[in-house]
Amino acid sequence: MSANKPDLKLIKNDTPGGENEAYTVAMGPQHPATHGVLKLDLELDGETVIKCRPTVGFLHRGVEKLAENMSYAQVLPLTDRLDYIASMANNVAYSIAVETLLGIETPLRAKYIRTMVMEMARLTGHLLWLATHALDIGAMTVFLYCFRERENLLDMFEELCGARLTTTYTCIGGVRQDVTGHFLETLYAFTEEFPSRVKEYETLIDQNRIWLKRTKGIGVITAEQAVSLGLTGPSLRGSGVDYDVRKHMPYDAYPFVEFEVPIGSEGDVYDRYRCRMEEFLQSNSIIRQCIEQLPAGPVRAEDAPDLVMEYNPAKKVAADATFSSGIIKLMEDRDRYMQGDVYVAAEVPKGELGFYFVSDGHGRPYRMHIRSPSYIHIGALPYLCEGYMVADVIANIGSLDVVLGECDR
Amino acid sequence: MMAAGSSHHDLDRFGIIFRATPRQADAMIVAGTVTQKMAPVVRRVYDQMPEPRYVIAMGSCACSGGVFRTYHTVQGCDEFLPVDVYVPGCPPRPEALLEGLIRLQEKMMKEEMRWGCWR
Amino acid sequence: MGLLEIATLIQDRYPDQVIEVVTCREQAGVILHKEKILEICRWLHDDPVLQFNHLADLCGVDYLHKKDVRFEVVYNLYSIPTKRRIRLRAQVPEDDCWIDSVTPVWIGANWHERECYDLFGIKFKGHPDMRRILLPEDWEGHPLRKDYPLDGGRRNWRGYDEVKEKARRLREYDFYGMYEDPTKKIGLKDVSK
Repeated sequence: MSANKPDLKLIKNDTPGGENEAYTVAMGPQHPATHGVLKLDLELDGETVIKCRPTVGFLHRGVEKLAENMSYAQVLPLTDRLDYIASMANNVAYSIAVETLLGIETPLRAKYIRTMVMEMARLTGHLLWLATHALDIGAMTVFLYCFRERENLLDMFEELCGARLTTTYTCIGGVRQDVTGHFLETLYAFTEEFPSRVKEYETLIDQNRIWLKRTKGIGVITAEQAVSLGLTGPSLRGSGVDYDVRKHMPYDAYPFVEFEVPIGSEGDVYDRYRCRMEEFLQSNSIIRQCIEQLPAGPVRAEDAPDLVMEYNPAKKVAADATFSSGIIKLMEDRDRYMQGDVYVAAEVPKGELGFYFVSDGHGRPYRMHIRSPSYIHIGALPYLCEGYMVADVIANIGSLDVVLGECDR
Repeated sequence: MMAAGSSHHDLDRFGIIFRATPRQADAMIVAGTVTQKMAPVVRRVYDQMPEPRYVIAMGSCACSGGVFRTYHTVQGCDEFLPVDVYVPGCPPRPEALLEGLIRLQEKMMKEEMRWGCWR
Repeated sequence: MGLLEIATLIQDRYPDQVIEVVTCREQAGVILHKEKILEICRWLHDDPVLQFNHLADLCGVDYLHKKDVRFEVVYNLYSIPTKRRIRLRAQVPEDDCWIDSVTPVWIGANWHERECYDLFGIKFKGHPDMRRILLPEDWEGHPLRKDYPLDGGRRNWRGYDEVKEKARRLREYDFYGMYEDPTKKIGLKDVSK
C-alpha cells in the first residue's frame, strides 16, 4: 500500500515460466468486494497491478430495448432497477427527462418534494457507499452505524410511497401523492439529528491512521484526465473540477435552495471520500430548506399523462391509426408527442445520469439511451488501478461508488 | 440482503452468517436478475459449494425473470439450479428474506436421507 | 452564445459536412456526414472558445424504415467551462457500417463506442479495443437494432445452453431435485436398498 505510484517502466516482465513472470488473477464476478457482478482481470507483477481489464455485462437485462416496447409512464418502474440503491433519484431524473420531451411544467410543490426525495436518495446512496467502502477497507463498525440511519430513511420512503427501495414515487408531471404532515415532521427531526451522526462516522475513520494509509495518495487521477474520462459526480469533484448538474443545469427546486458543491484537490481516494462526506451535510441542509419553503398547491400537473399515456381523460383520445403500437393517442394535442430528440441529465448520487430520448411522435420512446455514471466510472478503473497494489483495487472500486445494475442496464 | 444482515434485522441471531466463499457455505442466495452471461458463473459457484447445499432464489427476477422478458435475461434461475425456497418481491423486504431462510431451516429439519443415509 | 450559434459555427466551418441543423425543446443538434467526425470533434474539443471537454453521452440510434440512412451515432457534448451543450448526429449507412473513433479526443469514449458496437454493430475505426462489452463475445446479432426481437427470438446464447445441459446431466445425482420426475425416482430407489 505504498503511497507512491511506482514507475511502470521499471517493472520488467520475465520470460514465461520465469521467476518474475506476470500472472493474471481473475477477480469476480462473484467477489463480495466488487459490489455486484463486476469482473476484473488483473495482471500482476508481485503485488503490483500492471494491467486491469474490467468485464461488465453480467447484469445486462436490456432495459433500453424493453423501454422501446413500453409507454413513457411504464418505463418509470424500470428506472428503479437501474441504481437500486437510490432509486428515487433515478425516478426524478427520468421524470424530468420525459417532462422536457413532452413539455410539461411541474407544479412548484411537486418540484420541492422531488428535490427533497432526491436528496434523501442521495443520503441513502452515500450511506450505503460509506458502509460498504469502509467494510471493504476493513472498518466493520461503520457499516452497522450507516445502516442504522439508512433504515430510518427507508422507513420514511415506505411511509411516503409504500416501498423501501424500488419506490416509483414520482410520475411524469409531478409526484404520485402528496406528503403527509407526519412524514415532514419525522424527516425534519431526522435532519436535526443527522449532522451529529455524520460526526460519529468521522470520529471512526476520518483521522484513523489505517484509513489514511489506505486512502491517501491512492488512485490519483488528475483533473484533466478525469474530465477526459467522463467521470462525473463526487468522483470528478474529488479531482477539483467544479461540475455539478444541479448547479450547471438546474432542475426542479435546485435554483431556489442554497447549497455548496464540495470540491477536493488531490483526486485520490481520500478526497473522493471527503467530497461525499461533505455532501451528506449539504444534502441535509437542502432537505431542511425544502421542508421550510414547501409551498402549498397541487403535486401533479394537470396535463400529466397517466399510465396508458392518454393525455387527459376529459379530452378526446383515440386509438392510434397504426394499430401495431397499441397506444392511445391524442387527437387534439398532437404535438404533445412531438418528433425530436432530447438529452436531459440529473445529478444522482453516483454522478450525471442522463436520458437521451428519440421520439417519433408515438407514446413510446423510439430510442432511450441511459447515460449511466457507473458505466463510465468502471471504464475509468484501469486508469486508477494500474501501478498500485492489489489491495488498493478494492479501495478504488469503493471510491468510485459503482452499482452494477446501473452500469449494465 | 444487506439490510437483512445489518443492524436492524440482524441475520446473526438466527445463526445465519455471510461467508465470502462458496466453499464454506451451506446455502446460496441468488439475489437479483440472472443473465445468460452470468448463468455459468452462478452454476460454478453452486458446484463449488460442498453438499449438503441449498439455493434460495431471492426476488422476482431470480424466481421468474420478473419484468425483464428480454434477450439476455434468464427467466428464473431454476432453469439451471435446483431452487429450494423462492422469495418473491422486487426486492423482497428483509423480513421476507428472513422468512425464507426460516422456511429453509424447517425444510432441512423435515428432509430425510437426502444427502446420504448416515443422517 | 445562443442556442443555434454553435451549430452555425460548425456549419460555417464545415459546410459540406453539415446536412441539417435541428432544434427540439431548446436543444440544438447538428446532423453530419460521418467522414470528418473526428476532425470536427477535435476542433470542438481543442478550440479555446468552445472547449467542449465533456463527452456526456455517445450512443447509436437505428432508424430502420424511417430514414434513408439507417444508423446515427449521437454525440452529446458539454463544455464545463462555458456551460454550453451541443449534439452531433453522424449518419452511418447500413452497408458501410463504420465511423471514426473519437477515443483520441476523449478517452472516456472508449466504452461508449464498445457499447455502440455491441448493441448496434457499428464499427469504430481506430478504436483500441473493439470487442463486445455487455454481451458475451460469441453472441449472435446486435440486440438494439429494430429488427432484433425483444426476447431474442427464443434463441439462447451457446454458453447458456451448455449450462442448462450440464444442469440436466447433473440432476440425476440429485435425490429429489427440482426436476422431479414421478416415473423415475432414481434417488429413492437407491436408498431403499
